[in-house]
This record gives sequence, C-alpha cells and structure tokens, in this order.
Amino acid sequence: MLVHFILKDLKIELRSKEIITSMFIFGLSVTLIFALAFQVAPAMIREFAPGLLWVVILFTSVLGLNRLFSLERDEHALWSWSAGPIDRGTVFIAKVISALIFVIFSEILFIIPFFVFLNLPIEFSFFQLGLILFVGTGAIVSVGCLISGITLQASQRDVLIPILLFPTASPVAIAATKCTQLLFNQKSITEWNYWLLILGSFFVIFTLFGYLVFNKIVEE
Amino acid sequence: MPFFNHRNNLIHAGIAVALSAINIFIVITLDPPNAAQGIFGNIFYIHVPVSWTAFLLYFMVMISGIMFLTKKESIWDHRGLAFAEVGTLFMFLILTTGPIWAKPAWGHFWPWEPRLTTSLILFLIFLGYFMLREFGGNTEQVSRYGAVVGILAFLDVPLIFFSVKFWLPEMQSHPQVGSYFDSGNLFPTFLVIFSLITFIIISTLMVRFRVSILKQNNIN
Amino acid sequence: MILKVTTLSKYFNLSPIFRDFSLTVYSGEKIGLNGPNGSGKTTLLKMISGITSIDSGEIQINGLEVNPEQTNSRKNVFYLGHSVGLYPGLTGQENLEFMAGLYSQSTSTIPDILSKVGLGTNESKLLKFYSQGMRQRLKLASALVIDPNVLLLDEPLTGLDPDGIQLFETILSNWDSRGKTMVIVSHNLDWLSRITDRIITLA
Repeated sequence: MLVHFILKDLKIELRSKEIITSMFIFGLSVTLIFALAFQVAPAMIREFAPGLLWVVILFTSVLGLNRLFSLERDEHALWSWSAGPIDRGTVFIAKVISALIFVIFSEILFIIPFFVFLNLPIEFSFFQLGLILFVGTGAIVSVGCLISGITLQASQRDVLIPILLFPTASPVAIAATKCTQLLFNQKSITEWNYWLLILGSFFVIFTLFGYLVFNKIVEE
Repeated sequence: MPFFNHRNNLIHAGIAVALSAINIFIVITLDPPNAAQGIFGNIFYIHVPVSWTAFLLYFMVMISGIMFLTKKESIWDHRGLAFAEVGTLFMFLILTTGPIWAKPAWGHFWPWEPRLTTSLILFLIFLGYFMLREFGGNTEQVSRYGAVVGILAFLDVPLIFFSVKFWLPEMQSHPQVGSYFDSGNLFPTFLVIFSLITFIIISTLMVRFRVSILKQNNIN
Repeated sequence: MILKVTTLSKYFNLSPIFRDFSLTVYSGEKIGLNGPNGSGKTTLLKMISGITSIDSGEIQINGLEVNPEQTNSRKNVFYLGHSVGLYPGLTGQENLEFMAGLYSQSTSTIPDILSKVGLGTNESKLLKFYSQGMRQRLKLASALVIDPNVLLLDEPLTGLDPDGIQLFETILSNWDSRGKTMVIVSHNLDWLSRITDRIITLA
C-alpha cells in the first residue's frame, strides 16, 4: 500500500513535472538573490554558505510540500483513500517518502548552480554531503508533511505552513547548518556526528508522531 | 450565570489579586541576588518562577492534547486552549524579563541562551497555534489540529534546547544558582514565588476556561 | 449488509447538524434521503463512509463499527459524491487502478468497466480534461471496480445526459438484483420515490 501511494505521487509528478520544476526554479532564484545581495569577501561567503543552503532548502521545501498536498486537495482527491479500507498512517509515511524524493531531487538540481554562483570550493566528500542532505531534508519534510496535513483544509494555508514550520524546524536549521559548516571546513565526520544524531532523532520522532496522529488529521 | 457572581470564584480572584500585590512587594524588597547588579537582579526572582510556570502550562497543553485525541471530550479542548493562552502570556513575560535581566548581566539584551531561545521558539510556534485555531477550518477540526500542534510543540522542546545548547558552546547557560549569586540558596524563595504565581494562574485559567465554554454555549 | 446508525451527533462550527439521529437500513434495502439544503444529507453519507468524523454515537456496517482505527470497517462501503474524490493528474484508467489497489481488487476488469460506462475511448485522457458527465461516469466505474456491498449515492444523476441516466438505472437495477444496500440522496422526489423502497426526509 505504501508503494502504491508513492507510485501514484510519482506518476502524477512525472507527467506534470510541476513540483520539482517549481522547486528547482525557485531554489535557483533564491540562490541568485543571495549571490547578488551578499557582496562580501569570498572568505565570508564561505562562512555564510551552509546557512544560505539550508535557508534555500527550507523555502523550497515549503513550496514543494504545499504543491504535494494540493494534489490531495484538488477535487477532494483524498476522499478516495480517506474513505478507503487502509491505514491512514501509511499514507503519511508515503507522503514523507514522496516529499523526500521530490525535495532531494530538486536539491541535486540546484546545488550545482549554488556552488558555482557563490564560488565555493568543492573540497569535501560528496557522500557525506549527501548524507547530511538526506537526513536534514528528512527532518524538514517529516514535520512539514504533518503541518501540511493539518493546514490542508485551511483557507490561509499558504501563510500557516511557513508560520508553523519555520519555528518547529529551527533545530533542523541549526543542526543541518552546523553539519554542513563543519563538512565545508574539512572536519572529519566524528566532529559533527552528534549534529547528525539530532537531525536523525528529529526525523524519527516526527515521522512516528505523524504516523500516529494522521488518522485524526485527515477526517473532516 | 456571570462568572464573578459565583461566590467562590470571586473569593479566589480576590485572593489572587492580593497575592500578586504581595508577590510584587516580596520581589522588590528582597536583597538583590548579586550586589554588583543592584536592583536589576531582582527581576530574577520573578523570571525563574515565571519560566517554570510557562513550561508547566505548555506541558499541560500537551497533556490536554493527548487526552483530547484519545477521549474526544470537548472539555479537554477547552482546557488545552486555556493552558495555551495563559502559557503564551507567561512565555511573553519570560521574553520580557529575560532581556531586562540579560542587559546588566551580559551587556546585551538578547543572549542566545538555550532556555531563552527555546522560549522564543515555543512562543512563535504557539502564535502559529492561535492563527491555526482562527483560520484552520471549522471549530471541530481546529480542536483536533490544536491538540496535534500542542503535542508537536512540546516534542520539539528537547530538540530545540539541545541544538541551541550545542550551537554556541561558548555561550554560558544561566548562571547556576549559588555559584553566581552572593546570597546562598535561592531555591526556597523561588518556590514561594512559584506557588504564589501558580495560584494566580489557576484563577486566570478558571476565567479563560469559563469564557471558552460560554462562547460555545452562546452559539448553541 | 445492515447499516445501522445509532444516536449520532455531529456539530459543525458548534451548531448541531445531527442530534441523537438513528437510522437502520436493512440488507438489500434502498433508502432515499431528502431534505432542504444544509439539512446534512451529504454530511450523513460522508460520516457513514468515514470521510467525516462523528462527535458521538455509533455507525455500524454488518455489526462492525465504522471507526478510523479499524481499516476493515470501511471495506464494504463506498461513497459516490458530487465532489470528485479522484486525482485530476491521473487518467481515467489510472484512477480506477488506484482505487482497485486501495480495495485490493483485481485490475483486469477495468477496461471492460470503462467501456461499459461509455468511457472506452477516453481511458488515457487526464481526469482534469473530463467533463462533468464524464467524471460522473468515471465515479460510477470506480463503484463498479470496488463492488462494495453498501453504496452511498449522493446526487448520482448530476451532470449525466439521458444516455447516462439510462446507464445509471441499468447499473442500479443490477445492484438491486444482487442485494446491495443503498442510500440515495436526491432532490428529485419523483425519481427517488420510483427507485427506492422508502424515503426519509431530514429536517
């Protein structure tokens, strides 16, 4: 059933390419604005870069999550499964996984221009950066999917998602930025693994919590 | 029946007002905890008990949320909302008394001290909570959403606290009682003020709780 | 399949829509629901199907409580409403495959069902390009794919052309002969009294 739901989201997205394209272009535009607005010494940009990267990721995630959940809202499509004989918690897990796939994909697309525009040296392990991106994005989308589910029926959802998500995800912003900063400064993974641990526990706690309460959220 | 026509409520409110006056008197007349800081240090007498109460109230929001989601009794929703409203008021007090004390102690109004930062983030999440309750859908839906956000906010507390704590390791935590202050053990004083504040809070909660039920009955 | 609603209460923005409402629909019975706008006809069907929560009371289908925690309880009931409940970004065929997957039904009958409801040539068209009548036909098709024992039909004739109405009535008599329990909401009293066993008017 989990795969059934993920495939459904992927099928819709592969056809319209709407979510990933909009996230990518938005991420690119924000990167451009950052590059233009922070006209400081290259050394200082290097200090700022990890924070900027996660600001871009957080912004694009909000955009992507909003689109991902509007798939369910348009024409009341969610009624197909909210009345169906399935565990709604599974739908939540499926949404987290689809969101993770979409956001990671758009990150892969805009991270290259990010490094090029900000003239950042690439002197670190790609695998470790990938690990940070995966766990950090997972943490953002786990709580993000929960908040998008809550605001699904709200008239002011475009405002409510960032208002609720940004403070809630502030530990992610801190931890992910720290990880990335230490990685960019060529510190070994043993010096920042506790930050990964915070990100990982955030991911796990909110995925489980969402799984437990999603049942109560989708009912009208 | 109007709330204050109820004899017990009136007596309770009267005691609460009297206790607030006594409370203020105690706080002002006690010796400053640190001679170098003078009277500014006295705000510490109120800051610490207020913080305890605020976190206790937010903890109660979570408990009410869990009770509401499991038992579906609307009384827990009213309780949760009353705890959230009074709790947010007290969070605001932390955010004002904290900087007043921080200025003479650290030389600037906003030290990114873990506890103060956690309070700020929780305060922001709860501003979102009230927005959600206002714009999130129909009354029955936002009760459920409010319960979920109340639990979510408190689940976030340890994550926020530890990430802020590790974020700036050079930032000292609150000076621990006894090591920083001239006078010995402040704990008994805090406890006295804490109990006075708790009494005031119960009175406030009763009013808020009553208002929220009256609102519901009025519509029917 | 007996459908039993006991002392159901539902509030919307604190005002009651249902207060201690009870209803029993016996196995194989066809019930018509009628009443003015805002009387809660659609809400009742959505509560029975599990889309909308109930504040108190109980809904049972064949002795099993409809309850969000028990996924099996919603297996035998299907709500065919006037809002779509299908994905605009999927084709007709894919939507039906998705529904079949949800209810663990085989997908092999889908092409037959699509041509039966007159959508045989449109199966690869995205739902968002369907007209109102075509969407209604696709919803009928999803009811046929799922083949539930309790059918909740909310204004099933909306947007259907005369051919479509004829098709619907054929399907209806087929369901009837197979002993399906049905609750039908309509404003058209004449039509309702012709096809149902009894009519309940909600105030």
